[in-house]
Amino acid sequence: MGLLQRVFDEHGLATVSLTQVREITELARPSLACLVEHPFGLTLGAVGDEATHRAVLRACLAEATTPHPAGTIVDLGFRWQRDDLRERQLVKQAH
Amino acid sequence: MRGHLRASFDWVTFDEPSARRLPERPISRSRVALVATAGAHLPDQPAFVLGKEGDSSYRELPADASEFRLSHVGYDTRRASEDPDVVFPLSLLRRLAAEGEIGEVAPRAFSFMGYIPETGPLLRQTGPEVARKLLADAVDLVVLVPS
Repeated sequence: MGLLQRVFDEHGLATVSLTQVREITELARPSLACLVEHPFGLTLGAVGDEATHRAVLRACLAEATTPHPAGTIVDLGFRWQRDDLRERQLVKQAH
Repeated sequence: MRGHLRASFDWVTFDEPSARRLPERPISRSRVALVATAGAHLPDQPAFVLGKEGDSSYRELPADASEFRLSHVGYDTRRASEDPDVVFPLSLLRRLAAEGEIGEVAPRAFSFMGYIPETGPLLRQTGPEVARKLLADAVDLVVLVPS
């Protein structure tokens, strides 16, 4: 995602991205990313949890208008607490 | 990813960040485009290739699209198939537009499948193609959503 964002940045587009893994985004260094520690495949939150989906997207949009320095990764503070899916995904024990 | 799907994979890294550009209008008046890597596509569009070589192609989806298929090698698409907003929040963006939180949804969204171990075609061909289309659509802000 960071590489694609860089391409858009280089074309002069205003961009903001979500990321689930800070370390990967730190390699690509896109202009602005927002960290949400949710599982892969559930980026905005759990299935049917529209309140969290809205909160994530609103927070992301708000950061897009904030004058952060290029390369900033903003931690939006969302953490997955329903189960250990994210932890198992990160060690390749879940899909 | 290295060794799991493609032994020769290595991350592309950069020393310097890409430049930031702020939206020129408030979000409540902005045309917002969605670009996601969830492997979303319309039912009548070809699925993404799920082999070890990855797939750097993309699909265009109209802003009013409501029925999606998901093809992706990197996550279990069954969960998101029940509620595409979790990885492809086009419907949510439409609701935010209807409620006045954003100005409008861009006329088309763009979808990639995030497993792209060979990044050259993405960086040289499909990524710039989509960038030019977003510029042609006069979007004020691009929101990129991974899966």
